[in-house]
Amino acid sequence: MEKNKHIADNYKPKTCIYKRREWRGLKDTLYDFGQWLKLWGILAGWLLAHPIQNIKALFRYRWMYTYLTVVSFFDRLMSQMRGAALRAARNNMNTLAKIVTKHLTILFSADEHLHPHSKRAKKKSEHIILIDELLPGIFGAGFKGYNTILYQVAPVYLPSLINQHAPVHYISQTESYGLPADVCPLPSYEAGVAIEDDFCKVGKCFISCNMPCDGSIMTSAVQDRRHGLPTMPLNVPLRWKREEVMDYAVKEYKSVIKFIEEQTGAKYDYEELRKACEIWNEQTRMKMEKWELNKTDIPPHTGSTSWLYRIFEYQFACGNAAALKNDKKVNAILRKQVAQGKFPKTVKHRAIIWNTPCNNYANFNEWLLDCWGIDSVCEMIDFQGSEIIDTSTPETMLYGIAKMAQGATMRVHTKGGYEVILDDLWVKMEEFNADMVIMFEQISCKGVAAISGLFEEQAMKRNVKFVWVKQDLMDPTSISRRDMRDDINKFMKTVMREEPLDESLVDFDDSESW
Amino acid sequence: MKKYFCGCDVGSTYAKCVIMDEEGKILAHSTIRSKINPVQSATIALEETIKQVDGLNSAQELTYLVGTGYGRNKVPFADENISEISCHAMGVHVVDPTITGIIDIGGQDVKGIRIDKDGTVLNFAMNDKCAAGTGKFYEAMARAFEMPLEEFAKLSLKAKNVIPITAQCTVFAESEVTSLVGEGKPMEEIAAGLQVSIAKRCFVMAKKAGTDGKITLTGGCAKNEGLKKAIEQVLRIKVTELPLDPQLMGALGAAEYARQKGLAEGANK
Repeated sequence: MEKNKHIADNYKPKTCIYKRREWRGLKDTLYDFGQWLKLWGILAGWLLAHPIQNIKALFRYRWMYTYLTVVSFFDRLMSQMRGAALRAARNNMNTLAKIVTKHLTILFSADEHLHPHSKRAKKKSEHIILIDELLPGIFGAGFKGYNTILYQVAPVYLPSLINQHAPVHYISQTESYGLPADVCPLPSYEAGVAIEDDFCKVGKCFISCNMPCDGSIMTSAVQDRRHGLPTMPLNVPLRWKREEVMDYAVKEYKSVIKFIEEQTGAKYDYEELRKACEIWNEQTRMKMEKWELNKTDIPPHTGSTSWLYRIFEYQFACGNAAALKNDKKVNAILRKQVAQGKFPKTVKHRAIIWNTPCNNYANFNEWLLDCWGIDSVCEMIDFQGSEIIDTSTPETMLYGIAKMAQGATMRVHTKGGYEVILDDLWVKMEEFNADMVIMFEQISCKGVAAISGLFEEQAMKRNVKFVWVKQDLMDPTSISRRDMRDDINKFMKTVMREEPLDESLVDFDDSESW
Repeated sequence: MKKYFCGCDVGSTYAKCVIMDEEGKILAHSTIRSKINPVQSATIALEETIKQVDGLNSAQELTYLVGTGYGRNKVPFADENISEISCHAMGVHVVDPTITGIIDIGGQDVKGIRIDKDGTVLNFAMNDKCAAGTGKFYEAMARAFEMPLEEFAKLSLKAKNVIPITAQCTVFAESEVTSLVGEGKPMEEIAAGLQVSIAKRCFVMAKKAGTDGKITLTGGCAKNEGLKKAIEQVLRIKVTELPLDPQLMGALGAAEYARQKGLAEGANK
């Protein structure tokens, strides 16, 4: 990539909507355009399959409006991408779109809010098991004929990534309800959706959990009151690398299975679970291969479209054959790219992104690369539940699933003791040959703040460049995207004394952007 | 023709301006209370300083002007803007090149800065999302004590004991102070507690930035005797005194950058 491309000149002021589609050279532009049309096809197919139901949902749920901006969101994530990275990114995101639209159809077709007097909807609803969004849904595979739905994914998690303004209304509702304003925006947003009665009214029972942190205690209580379903909390041990917690963890899963059996009358089928675990193991192998490729001098696919897909796959599409098919396709593209030895962008630094990423600035990685040449070769969030599950017996499968859940999104590395948050960082730095750490400092989460001095001390000893970037997970009103960029700009100019690759990206106003 | 180099530091509470000559001699400086509009603050500070220099009539006649501080983008006629972190480091280096660590306590942020022997920044850490431990915090506390800021800053020096203040949030600290005053606790001991709690906050920033060796304080709060004593106790160091007003360090550093860049470019406006 040549210097001073003035990428921001292609943004409309404040909204940052592209003035025109990006020119990527003939071949890549055609490919990108084709995939963009494919995305429109997925969305149109979904809408037209059940037009009345989907339009009713659009008017019933405030968060549904966010999904109207999904095409623009995908475009933001593909900024300046070429070759294998572009292909991997588009395939990942379109797969995500396909699975999510299917999920929305299951949800809406059973929703009492949308179908208040429908017996058919009620019957479908009775075949839905709701689980907390932080739990990987794989264990639900053992309940054949039932859909395991991650309750908060559609109204909370995905909208917070797609549109930075989506959480603001719901957080405000939580605060207006009298709940404290200084807690993490994730439970605040979830509680706000419950207060507004904006969760779909579906399900036979609900499995809550203690993840990612204590904040979930508040939100579980509020949600519980709203949906009124029989609920069982699944307690996931914190020290996930320690063997002594595993007996307890497996017992918890057994209790949850028993609870669901009692509620639904269904019998848990370990053979079905085995099939899902085998698919997940393949997905994990694919992921491990991708890590190995990213450890090379030519990391072929890094950034948001990689970690977003990984979160989605871990929680939502674990044991999903369509996701595995995509993984195989993407890895083949990436292998080819590495064999060719080409990387289409200027990379000045290989960075590790540590701590939980910021939902309201999902394309922060792309900005880092385009503005400063910082390639995020390794993301902490990428490492959730990445051990192979032993499928030889029901007991070993439950052990593997329990282990997988303990290394959940946001929790992996931020819980589990200093060895996973601190020691592992330096191991990963070496493995990925990184020369810089970008450390997210989530201001409403005090967990990691407590050991910030230790990070700095060890970074200095190792002569590692360590940048703190403040963020507030889902609340752009406390830390904006511009504030986050400013933290990087200050560090790069003051400490690194470097010049940006593209001056137009250093400071721009995107306060009204989705 | 004589050349003049200027640094203008537009902070959240005060705007500061320094003009120097080709040899780096300070010709004039001024400090004014910031207005709501940073352009206005910069303009007034520039005018005040320019007035003090014989033969200099307007900002357009400056050879090179560097803006810094939170309003650095709004300094009229600026040739360049540089972050306040770099400028504080350079300012301190100009007055005492042996200093390697800075704790800068401004109107609305606290910074720890580690500097190299040539005045460049090796690392920094800052807290700019919370008023606790900043100049704004002191203003709020002085109001709670119903005394002028200068008097409040010295109050803790008379304390024989320190009453620990657990809350570091401005709002909570204010209500905690009100309760303690209501309980009849000695005012100077409450003030000492506040100073220690802020010193601890500074300690975190200093530690995050990795400051060691000779450390100094900059920013308006550096003039607070009580805080200086508390920082010396908490960090177990002797704070190095600067021979010049510590509040001017950002503007001085900006002026020094202006001098270096102006001379290097041979700029002549």
